[in-house]
Amino acid sequence: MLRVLLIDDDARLAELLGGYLGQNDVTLVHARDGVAGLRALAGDAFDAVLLDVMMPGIDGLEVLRRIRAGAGGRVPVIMLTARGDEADRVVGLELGADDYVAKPFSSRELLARLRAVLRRAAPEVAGERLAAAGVVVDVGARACLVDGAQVELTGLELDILVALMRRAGRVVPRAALLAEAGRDDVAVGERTVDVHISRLRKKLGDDVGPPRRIRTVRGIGYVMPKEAAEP
Amino acid sequence: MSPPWRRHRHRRRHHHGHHGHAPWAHHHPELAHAMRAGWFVQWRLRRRIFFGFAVAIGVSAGVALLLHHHGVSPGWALTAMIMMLWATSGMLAWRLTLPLTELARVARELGDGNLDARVRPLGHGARELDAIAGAIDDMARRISRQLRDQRELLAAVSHEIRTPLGHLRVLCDTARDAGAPGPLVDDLEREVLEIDALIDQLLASSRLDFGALERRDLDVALEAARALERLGVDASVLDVESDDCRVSADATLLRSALANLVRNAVEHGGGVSRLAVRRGAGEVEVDVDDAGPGFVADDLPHVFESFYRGSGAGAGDKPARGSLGLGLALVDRVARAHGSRAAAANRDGGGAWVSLVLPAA
Repeated sequence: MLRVLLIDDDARLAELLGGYLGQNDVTLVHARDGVAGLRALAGDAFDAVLLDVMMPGIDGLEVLRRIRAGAGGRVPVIMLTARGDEADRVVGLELGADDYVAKPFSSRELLARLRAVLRRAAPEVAGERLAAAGVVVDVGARACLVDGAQVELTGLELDILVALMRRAGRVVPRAALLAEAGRDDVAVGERTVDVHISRLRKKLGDDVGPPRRIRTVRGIGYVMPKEAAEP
Repeated sequence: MSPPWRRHRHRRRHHHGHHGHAPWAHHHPELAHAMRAGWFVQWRLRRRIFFGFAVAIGVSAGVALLLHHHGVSPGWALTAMIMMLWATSGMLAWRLTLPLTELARVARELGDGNLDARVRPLGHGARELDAIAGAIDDMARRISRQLRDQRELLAAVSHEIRTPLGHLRVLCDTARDAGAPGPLVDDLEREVLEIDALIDQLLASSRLDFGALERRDLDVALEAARALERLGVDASVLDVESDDCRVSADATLLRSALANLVRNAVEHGGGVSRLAVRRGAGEVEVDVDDAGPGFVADDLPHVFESFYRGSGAGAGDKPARGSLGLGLALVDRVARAHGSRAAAANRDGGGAWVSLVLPAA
């Protein structure tokens, strides 16, 4: 059973979400504000943290900064953002959160994001299969099939591909790609990512005409469509 | 500083405490000041005009008499007197109206929505006009404060409404897992999302009404990626054609406009087929192509009008869900609030094209 800490001043949300996540093998522990949340984190071990941005007292962004600065600062954090005037200054992923979900969120979506974040934190999950844009990857066996045919990829290429496929349909910032691939230990610049992407495209048969499997989003990063586009 | 919704609760309590016995002057001392300034201004202005003309007439008549005494003919003395009267009246009028043009400038700026406009010091000898200037400045401050209060209240109310909406969404998923009929829960969830989208539009709309833009540098490509993600549209439709797509815009309004562009294509255009962002000369353009049948030709000139639902809706039809006919109108208003424009057309290959242009950073 996973243990997740929710730091949010909305007690009713904590109660309802706790009920939903409880049915899905996740124990939710609630902290009413940033101070209580940091205290709970210091005294107990959690698999992930759900952190509301807009809270009275110290806000979510400050709490995130303190979590990252403290011991055990690598715990996966998903920010819960509101979408009013106050949320304008929220910069989500750039602040070191692993993901963010806009309120009012779907609990299913939240659970899926939670699991994805945990998978990234502990990548050795056997039997995980991903499919997007005509590419199928068996993460455990580290095998890649393109339109049914096996393709040989290097370790880093496969990691980058898995990172893109886990977030298929969403733009993955170039800077975040290596971290998402679990390779933030590798000293590679953002331009090196481009080189790996272009090799990856060649191996996936995506180097003729406009890319269909891995698309560049200029100035931001890359996105893999969920469905294969028409050639 | 406490968050706005907390501040509002406090303020509401404070106001109720005075309800019933406090005259307007108690709440608005600056209004009382303005009223006092009313008779003061009249009295001072009349006195100044009266004395001004009395002195002018006296001096002119004296000069005329003096000239006549020194042998100047009565005709010439009278002419000299009239000319002196004319010159002094002109000077008097000029001195009286000079500060008024400054007051007129400020009144015009306030009318144009610049509530930060204040009267510049009017100079010596215009105490009554200083009083008018003070009254105008007080008025501007009061309007500013009221607008800010209204905006804060709206933000607070929106926040309070969104909280139970968040609970409802969690309950929808819990109901699904507990075996509630899927289509019913889907309908429920859709209504929740409609209310949420409406709150978004209301907030953006109020910001436009109050002309309260807070411009800062924003990357349109990044904001477009987020809008697609938020509305569950595959981000691979995003086509960023330029390296620098930063604009100087209000974040709330830009996000609302982008969300509305995408939502319009999803709800009425069969989905987004391409969202392109490119930089032109001093501006950044966002183009959204959809996969639908395009606009009906008669509707094209009206697509940016509020509450226009299109001839396709037919008489007696309900308006498009949740849109209130505000979606594209809001896009256009956002563009114009930034001194820019929006456009719509049908593409040659089929489908509609809607574009939003914003000033580059």
